[in-house]
Amino acid sequence: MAQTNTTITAQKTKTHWSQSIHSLEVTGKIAAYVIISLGALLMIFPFVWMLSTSFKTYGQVFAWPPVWFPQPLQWKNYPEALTILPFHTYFKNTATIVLCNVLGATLSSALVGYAFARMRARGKNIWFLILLSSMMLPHQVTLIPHYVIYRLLGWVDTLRPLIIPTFLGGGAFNVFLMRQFFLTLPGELEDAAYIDGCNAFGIWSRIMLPLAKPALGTIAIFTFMSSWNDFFYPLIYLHSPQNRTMALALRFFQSQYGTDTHLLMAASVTMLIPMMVVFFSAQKIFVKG
Amino acid sequence: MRMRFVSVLALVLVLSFAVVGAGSAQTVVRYAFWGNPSVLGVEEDIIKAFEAENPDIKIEPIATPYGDHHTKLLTMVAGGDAPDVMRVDSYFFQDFVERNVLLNLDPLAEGPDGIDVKEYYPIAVADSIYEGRLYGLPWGSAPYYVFYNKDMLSSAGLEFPSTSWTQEDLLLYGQKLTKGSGMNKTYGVQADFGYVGILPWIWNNGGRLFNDERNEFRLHEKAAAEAIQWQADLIHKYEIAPSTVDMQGFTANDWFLTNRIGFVYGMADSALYLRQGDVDFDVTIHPAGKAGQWTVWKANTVGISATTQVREAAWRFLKFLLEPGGKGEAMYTGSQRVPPNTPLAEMWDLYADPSMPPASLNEITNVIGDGHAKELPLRKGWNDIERKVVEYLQIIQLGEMTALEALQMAKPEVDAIIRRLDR
Amino acid sequence: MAFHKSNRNSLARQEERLFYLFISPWLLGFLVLTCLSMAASLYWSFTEYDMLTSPKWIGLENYQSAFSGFDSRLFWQALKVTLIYTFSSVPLQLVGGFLVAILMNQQIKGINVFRTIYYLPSITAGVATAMLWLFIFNPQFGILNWLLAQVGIEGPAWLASRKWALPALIMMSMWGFGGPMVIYLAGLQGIPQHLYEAAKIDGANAFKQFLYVTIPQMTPIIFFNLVMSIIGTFQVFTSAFVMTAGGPVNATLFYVLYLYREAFQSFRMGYASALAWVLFIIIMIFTGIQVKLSGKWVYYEGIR
Repeated sequence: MAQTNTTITAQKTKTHWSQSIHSLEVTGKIAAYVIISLGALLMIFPFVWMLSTSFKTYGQVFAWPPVWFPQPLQWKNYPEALTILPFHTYFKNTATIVLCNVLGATLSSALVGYAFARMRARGKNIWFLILLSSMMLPHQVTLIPHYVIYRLLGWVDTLRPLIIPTFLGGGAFNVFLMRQFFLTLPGELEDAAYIDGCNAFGIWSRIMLPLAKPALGTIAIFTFMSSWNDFFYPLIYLHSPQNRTMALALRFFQSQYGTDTHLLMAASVTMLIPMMVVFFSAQKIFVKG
Repeated sequence: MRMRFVSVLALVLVLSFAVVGAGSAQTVVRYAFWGNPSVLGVEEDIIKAFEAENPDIKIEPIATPYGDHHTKLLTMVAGGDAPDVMRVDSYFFQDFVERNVLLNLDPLAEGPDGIDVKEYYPIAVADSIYEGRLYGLPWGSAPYYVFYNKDMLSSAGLEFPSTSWTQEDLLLYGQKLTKGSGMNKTYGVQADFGYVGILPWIWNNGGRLFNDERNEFRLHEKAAAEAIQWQADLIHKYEIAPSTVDMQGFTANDWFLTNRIGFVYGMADSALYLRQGDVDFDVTIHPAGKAGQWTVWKANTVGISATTQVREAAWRFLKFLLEPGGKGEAMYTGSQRVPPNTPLAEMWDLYADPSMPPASLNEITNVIGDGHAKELPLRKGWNDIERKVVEYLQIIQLGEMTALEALQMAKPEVDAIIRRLDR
Repeated sequence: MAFHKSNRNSLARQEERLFYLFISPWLLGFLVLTCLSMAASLYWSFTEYDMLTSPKWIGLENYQSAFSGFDSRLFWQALKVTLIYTFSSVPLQLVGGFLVAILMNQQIKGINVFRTIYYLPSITAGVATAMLWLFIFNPQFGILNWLLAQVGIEGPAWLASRKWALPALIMMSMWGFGGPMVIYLAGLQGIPQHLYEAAKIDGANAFKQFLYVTIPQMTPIIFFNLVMSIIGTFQVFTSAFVMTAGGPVNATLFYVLYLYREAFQSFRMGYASALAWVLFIIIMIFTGIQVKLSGKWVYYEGIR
């Protein structure tokens, strides 16, 4: 309020041109703040609801009107949710899968995406179309053949089906994303490097990869989020209890005849917080500070 | 020199085979089942107890959440990797049996290491029998109950329903319990539009889902349509049951737990779920209609894969798990999570804790088991038919058509599905 | 001249070899995993296959059944629902994501926190969000109809209504702009600063800079988001699966939900595979159109 007043008075007393531009910028900034904050309220709403539910008793979950600030807070929901299913033992599996996937997806999609963006070869467009097409068939109908292949390889009930495929190109989505990023870089980059005697791999690793940092960061974050949250493939390929991932364990909270919503939410919040921290601290990779 | 090398090599080979042989002396039995976290622990305990008694057998559990169980099971069986012992929901049972996934258990059950199938509730084992042959043992067998909120009835000055109550009684209860309007309205009853839940009402009015051969749809007949119309009337005519519009985002159980609905329907799992709240409630049998007083009794099946390499071990485990009155059943019922498959008093004592609602669970189950229970008219393609019928039940529930109109429209479509299935 | 040409040819061949070397990880995965399983499902689409007994060749019967036979009513309904959903939610998500990315690219204090908040709905696990939305859309108790009532509008029954269930799911999909937003944000960083400076010198105001620098430079990223959103949205499954189970009366029967049920509940993997390949062709056509049109509006700096 005080700030708006001062800008208004400033506008009245001084009619200097740059000054009024400045005040415009200030009001613009304030407007941006207001819009962003209002939007943020909408965006954070689901999370607040989850958080509040995770501290409720069983009976409060469906109370009407809704209880937003449960009194007293049911802290015990957290230890309860996390001991009913031993999340800490599943954390190791999840962490292994997520870290390997981030590494595999960034490296291999950068390699393949670079080739699709900046190398000339006959049949390249055909291969690219084939790459895209591999995303167009719903995975429900390729589930059984995949299972058979992994069984023949002896990979079922190991973490391998969840890790090794990401090293093989890192998924068409990521390859396509890398390709698009490499295409936005100026065309003369490699020519200069070739003249300097770099080989193709050297150009890729020493010149191109550093320039592709925002894209690599984006892919790393997406891969982190999707493999952290993925329950379906672990569900199909993992059998033994000790191989379970956290997302799969979370899935068990939904039962046939009703859901223990308060425990589900406590477990969901626990799963969400590491992702928030990772996203918060990783943004500087793809956004300049 | 060379001789010595060869003999050393041979020795190493023999030794390594011996080591491998020693490692695989245990027979591995893979057991696939579903469950939520609270039931998984019971399964683990049973497996431990079995392994302690049978050190030569190792059980590898494959647990999935219910909603994903059959997708995973189908993928494994289709992928040539069928688990040796598997739990199958009765909705899928005949589809599995007709496609030779499950082993006929008669030779094993009647053999020297057999079990006495007669000790189960006959109705419970019915869902595991196909064309007179046994393909599994019942798991989680339970009738469909009516639950009522004791506090709501008491404060309205109403007596609790007796087991000989009628649908007119239910209507009266509903009208007396329904109060208020808009957001503060409390409802008397739940309108049951579930594909299974609607069957008792249909039977009690003299209707049926299929003909005797289970190859023709019969809900379009007057008696069945009337029963379904009555459910719709609870919503639209009497206004004592919430509509789907009112209920959206909530289940009837959720409302029951917040004292906003007096009567709901469900199986034993529902009782467990409702018990977690702080509502005082009890259980009774479905009210009698003009043609009788029936309810559904459903049991899932645990069977053995037709392709298993470890038949004997699998049977030994299955027997331990579900033999009438056996250790497995005692552990299941003792967890107070899985209802008994047998009328044995000691199993019911373990299961039904009289200090917890619903107090009459054991009593009512025996009343239902004694001539008030019917098995589901299961058949191949159950899910297919269900989806089509539910489409029309939704139309009736929304009040867009009368039951008779909608079900007569459904008739040719459902029959076409059945014809395709039986082709 | 002849020498020069052969030299160039060998260089081209060398680059081609390098290309295949670079894409070899993907190629290996494609040939071993993707290609085999796609071929299997293509074969099944011409068979009657229940997953538990061997597939039986029936030629085009599955396709015929979908287009004009036994299954045509649900097939066309599922296709209609999916097309409506895709062509309403994709533009909303893309434009929404772009505008939010511009906002989130502002150099203001605490923007890191805001970015995290805006990304939050996209990473919240499916079930939790679905349950929340069920409460939001509840006709009597929901927040949405309460808000509408404040401005004198009587809200519809949303997910319980045949007419409004699909629009409700479309509204819900707008929350999922977080993915495209992050990609746009990364793309915005790649625009060389000197282009803006040059535009300023030419006297372009902020709006004109946006129009003549930001948008053209972002076209490869917009193109990416467009192609990927369409591919992804055609295969959307979870929201209908969790929230409406395709109802009421098939009003939200998404194509892949339909396909999933036919495969794993009705034991019709052969028919489901045919459905999958029909969808494959549809998505392929839309992608092909976009790739063709992209030559007209997508601007690549580094095309060689």
